[in-house]
Amino acid sequence: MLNGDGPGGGERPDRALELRNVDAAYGTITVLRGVDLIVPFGQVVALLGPNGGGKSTVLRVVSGLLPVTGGDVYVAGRRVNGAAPDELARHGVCLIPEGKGIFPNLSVRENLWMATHTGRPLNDIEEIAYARFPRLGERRKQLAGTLSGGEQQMLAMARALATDPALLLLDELSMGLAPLVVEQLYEIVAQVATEGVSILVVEQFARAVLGIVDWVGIMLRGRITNFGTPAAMEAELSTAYLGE
Amino acid sequence: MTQPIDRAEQFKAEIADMKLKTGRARVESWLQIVGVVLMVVGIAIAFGAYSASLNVTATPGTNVDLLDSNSYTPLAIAGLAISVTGGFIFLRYSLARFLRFWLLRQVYEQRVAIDDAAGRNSTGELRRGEPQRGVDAVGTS
Repeated sequence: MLNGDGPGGGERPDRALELRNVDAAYGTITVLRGVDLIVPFGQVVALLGPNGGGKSTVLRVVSGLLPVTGGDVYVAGRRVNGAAPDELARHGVCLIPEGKGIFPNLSVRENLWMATHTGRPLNDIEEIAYARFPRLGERRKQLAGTLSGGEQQMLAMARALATDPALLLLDELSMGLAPLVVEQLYEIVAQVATEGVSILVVEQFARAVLGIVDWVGIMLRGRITNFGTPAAMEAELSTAYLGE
Repeated sequence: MTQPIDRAEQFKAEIADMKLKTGRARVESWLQIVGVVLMVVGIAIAFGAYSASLNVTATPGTNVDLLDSNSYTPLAIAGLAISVTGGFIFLRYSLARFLRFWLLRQVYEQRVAIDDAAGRNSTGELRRGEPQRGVDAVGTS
């Protein structure tokens, strides 16, 4: 961790995820440069920073969608460079992408059906999803594309949580949503974390997540420039965003 | 509900047992090249067999020339079979990649079309002046 400041600095608790000196590129354009990051088991880590800093690319690398060009990615202590995204997803690494990743032309129930690939029956998945998001239960037959943005995000989360993830990767949960909805969604994220799920959140809007995370990294131009507790990082954020 | 420690331990065990399939994209590219090579080689063998069969010299009073000529037929058929197999391998691995992108594009375009119909932009925000059908007020009816 940066300067021994983060969760890996003193004691070395179990790590759900660790990035060591990771580089990644889109073609010839290098996007990540020597990224080091640790997500301990059962904790929530947020990567914050302005647009274009490489935050979403970190999630793409961790979920196996983008191969690293340098460095190593460890999941649950195992080096997984080059692992296929479906393999990682099957074993509990779950990405909720920016833009929700739901099927707009399928109903809520049919979207949840997609999570049955894990072997869990649809009835169980629906029961869990509707218990956590009662709103979805009211709209189970409605086309997902006609739900509000907040409900679509709930559906994406419900489908992801139905797969019983161990490492949840959230990309811009607040994108295009009203502050009230964002607050409610992050309350659910905090609740999920208490159930032992390790979570890496990527956000542009820092205020939305500072209240629920254990560690915060600030990402600028492909590097994590600061890492620490939310209280310590709050002051750094204005510098990161405003460049002062 | 899943017990936190159990889930973490289970996760570690599953990841440790995971069979890593690295370099799948590279294998697909190689198989496409192999497919093209087989197509070319197969056709070359077939043409080679045909050309060789034309050069069979006749032996008066025997049918050796006909037998020699016929012996090239299996070789030409084998060449064609190799070529067809190569074509199949090439199509299999080039189409798979194309269809993956096609599927992603379909999903994306459908989402944009439905957002347009619902009066939202691509991030889910309501357009200014649109009716409040898609408003994100969870908890309100």
